[in-house]
Amino acid sequence: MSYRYLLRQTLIYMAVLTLALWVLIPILLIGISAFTPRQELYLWPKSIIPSHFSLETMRFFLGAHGVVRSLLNSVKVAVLTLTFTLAVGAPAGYAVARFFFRGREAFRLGILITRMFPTALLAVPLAVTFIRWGLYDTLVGVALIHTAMALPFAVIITTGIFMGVPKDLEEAAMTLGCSRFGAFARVALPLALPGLAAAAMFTFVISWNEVFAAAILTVRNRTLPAHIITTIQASPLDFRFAGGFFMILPALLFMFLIRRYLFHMWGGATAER
Amino acid sequence: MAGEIELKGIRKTFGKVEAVKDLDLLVQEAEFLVLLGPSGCGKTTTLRCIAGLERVDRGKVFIGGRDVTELPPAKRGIAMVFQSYAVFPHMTVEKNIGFGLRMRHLPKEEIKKAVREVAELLQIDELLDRYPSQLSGGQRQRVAVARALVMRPEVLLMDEPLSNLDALLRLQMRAELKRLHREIGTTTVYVTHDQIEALSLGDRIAVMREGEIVQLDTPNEVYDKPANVFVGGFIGTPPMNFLKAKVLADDKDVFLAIGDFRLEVPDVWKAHLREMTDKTVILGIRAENIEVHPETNGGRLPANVIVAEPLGSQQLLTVQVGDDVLKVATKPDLSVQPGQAIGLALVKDKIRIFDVQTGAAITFP
Repeated sequence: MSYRYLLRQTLIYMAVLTLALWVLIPILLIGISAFTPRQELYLWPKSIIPSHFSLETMRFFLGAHGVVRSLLNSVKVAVLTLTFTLAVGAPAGYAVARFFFRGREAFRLGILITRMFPTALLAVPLAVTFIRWGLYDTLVGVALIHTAMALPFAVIITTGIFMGVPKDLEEAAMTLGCSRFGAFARVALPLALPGLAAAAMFTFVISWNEVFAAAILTVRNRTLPAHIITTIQASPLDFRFAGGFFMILPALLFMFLIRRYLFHMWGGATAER
Repeated sequence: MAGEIELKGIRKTFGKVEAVKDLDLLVQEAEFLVLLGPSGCGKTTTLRCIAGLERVDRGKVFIGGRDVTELPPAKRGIAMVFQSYAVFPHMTVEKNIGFGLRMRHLPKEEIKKAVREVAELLQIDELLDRYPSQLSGGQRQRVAVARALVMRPEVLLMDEPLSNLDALLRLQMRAELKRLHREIGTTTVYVTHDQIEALSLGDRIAVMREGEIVQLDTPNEVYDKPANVFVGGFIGTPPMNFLKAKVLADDKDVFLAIGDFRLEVPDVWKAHLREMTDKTVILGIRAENIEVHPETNGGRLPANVIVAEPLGSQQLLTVQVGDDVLKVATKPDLSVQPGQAIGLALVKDKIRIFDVQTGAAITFP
């Protein structure tokens, strides 16, 4: 416990504290504001502890024109995105984790290239193509774009998950009477399920929070972020706070639920056995 | 016939690496055959080819007289025990053992009974409700063996099943596997790099090197009469001693010269050795076939003690003979000091000679 050690610890904790506050204070302010009565929003100085709990602001937000509809749209798009992403991403992740094939490493890196192009750059060509294909202003169209965005992460995450399921287990199942697919379904899939659920939630949040493509590719069928961003300039302060809180909610829940599996994603750490 | 395995010219390559090169092997019914070799010698690949987990590039695999070359593992009548045990973590011990029988759609009652029986055989019937994470390594190992045995396979394949156990447990389990094989009599192919395991378990041992079988014999034959320098050096603790010797002959006699020392050879060799006069050979002898005498005179091979290691049941000497270093096993109570000059006597009948170029044993009919 030398002086230098103490100093180091203090500095580390201070850095951690700063980062945590940096992230937490806005969330806290938004959360509090979303549940305080309207009049108090304009008070200054603000109190950190709200005087009393109120659903008035939330009720106002949900009652506003187009909010419920875009909320439902957002859910639909997110569920579609999740389905598409897992249907394509999980098998891809499995293949990368299990099989040696020519260009495997190139594929693992190359899949990130799709994230290199800013959506702003792709927006106009995409809109044109979507209009031509009849996908413009449809929820499926938005879900397809969100799938393209989430897919690289989904592949990387599911690769890590399936790498954590030892190949021996599937081979053992095969020697015990399973076909290749049977071994996957009975052994690899159940073991990967918690991780896959985390990947699914991650995909859901990506879609839920995506605003740019959704705003450009829809006119009447807005998702919630697209709806908020197009109306926010003309909205009162309480609407903004309530909207903000609503957008944060899934991501917050997601983080609490999957903290454990985050290690899988970033580290490729092996599964518990 | 039922459990007979025959490999005919199987070959398996991974990219440019030839893991198994045109290998032929016949395993008799109810035989316990050990595939032994250093890592990377192709023994595990050979086993996986029998299991059907690898497709052979060429050649045929027969199990019980049936050509299974193109069949998936599920249809080969095999069961396998993996080095990692590969016990399913999301199933209880009972479900693990019964997994294969459920795949066969046997009635529930029958599965339960079979699982209980095999669990008793392996003394894990107390653990049936547990999950693998609640088991020790040795217990998981037993589950893996039980899961394979319950299938009543024609052929049991084991891939280094003991290598993840600690030394004491390994010793126990080794004896247990031997007992199980005697009771059940299933044809078994067992892969290991541990020569002691191979010697203790195998009816026959196939010593492999670089994708080929270099010797296929009973444990005693492999130990006493290694087919080449590699086998002699790989099997036995300590490995076989090797020293250079020259064949010399005069009018009356033939002998091997180690430096100035003349070594007598078995009588049956003499006529054949005479034809090799003046050739250099490698002489091989095991540590326990060398006798140590404290005095150096009297027709003994002179040597100098470098190290003396007491090992409990015996004492192991490292000695210098000319340019060669030998290991010699002696009684534990023999008193020698490092630097001491001693005389060695090689047991005549236990000498092997090998070709200097190829390392192959030179044998005389």
